Amino acid sequence: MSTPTFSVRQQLEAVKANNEKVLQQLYTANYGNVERYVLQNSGSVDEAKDIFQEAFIAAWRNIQLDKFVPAGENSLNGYLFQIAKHKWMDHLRSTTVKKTTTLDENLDDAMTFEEVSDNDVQRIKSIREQFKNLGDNCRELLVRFYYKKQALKDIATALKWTEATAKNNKYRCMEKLRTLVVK
Amino acid sequence: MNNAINITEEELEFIDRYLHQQLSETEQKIFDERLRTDPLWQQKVTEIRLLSTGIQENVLLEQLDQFHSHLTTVENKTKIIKINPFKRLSVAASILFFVGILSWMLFFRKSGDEKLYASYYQPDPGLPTVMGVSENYEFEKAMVDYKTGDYSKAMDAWKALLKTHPDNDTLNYFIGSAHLANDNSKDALVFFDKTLLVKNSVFRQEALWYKALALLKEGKKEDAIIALKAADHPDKEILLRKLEE
Repeated sequence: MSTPTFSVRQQLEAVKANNEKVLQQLYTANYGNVERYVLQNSGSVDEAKDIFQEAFIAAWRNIQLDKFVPAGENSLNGYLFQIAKHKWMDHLRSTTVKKTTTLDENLDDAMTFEEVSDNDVQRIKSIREQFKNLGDNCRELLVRFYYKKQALKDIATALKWTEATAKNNKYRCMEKLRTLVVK
Repeated sequence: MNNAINITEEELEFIDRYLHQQLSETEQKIFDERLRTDPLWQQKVTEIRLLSTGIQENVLLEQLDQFHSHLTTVENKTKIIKINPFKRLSVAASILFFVGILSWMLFFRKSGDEKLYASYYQPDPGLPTVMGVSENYEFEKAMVDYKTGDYSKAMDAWKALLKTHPDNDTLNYFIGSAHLANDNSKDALVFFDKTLLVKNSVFRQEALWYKALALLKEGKKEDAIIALKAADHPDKEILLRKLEE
């Protein structure tokens, strides 16, 4: 079975739009390489999954926030793999495991990443946590609008509201989320 | 988060439209200029951007586990069973024999169109499920079955929903997809055609692509080309070239 191929530009647009097919393809195409790398460097399958998912979120976030500039047609896969490798290196260098592991040092240490600041990452994590404390209606509205990119008009139809109500509810839900995050 | 910054409803709308790339050229210029010169505006944009990112990451995290469980399902299906070493040789010989027979049946006996179908078909991965958030619990529950490969179970649930929503394009499209994933291209075509009856359906392009593949599987090459020409899929051109060779 062949896998549909996308140009890197199409891939980035699709990732920004949260196109599930492209996200899944990106996940499927890259997980194996990362798992192999982690297993070859003192890790377990569970650790490989965790590190890969962390890398996936970091790559997705950097794309959303325009921190990733593609350098070639296969650069997104390479980017994801490099982030995972760096994350695994950081993990191995942490004090708890440093003494017992050997590390494949053939890494592209010169590769640098323009990542989101630690402060912003912490804020995003806090938003993620507090989002769970919103009511069902707010969560559904915000997921439809920000993740699924649905138009307010369509959201209003689906939730049996007027468009003006949907717009006002979105504002109120965002304010509620901001209040929860600051607590 | 700096909640001391006051963001009005109008400002949120403006920033959201910027983030969704919906500003007109003039609005974009005004927005960019403000972003360049007004530090408070920069803070407001950053705040909404981070909120949007956090909201999206929540859903994405759920999805990653689904992607992973799909990998695990595939791995489990192909897991090698440990066997007694004394039986290995005969088992290996039997496996080789059956693999040979299967390859012959699946490959050499297939028509060129069917081979093309097999090369280009992969099941629609389904929609993100946001269980607990959605109003449509039954639909999403069936979507989880679909994503774990239980196409028949998903189809049964969706067909039950179809009784009260016969023209719903989402239901028709995914019932069609489930039929096709179950190797039933004939029934799949019925549901893809019903999807295509809905004007401006968000599934229109997908339905056209899978309709073309289903027609190809049915050996209706000319009809497949017509459907394919109307579709918009990354593999469209290459498949068209192969079909018209």
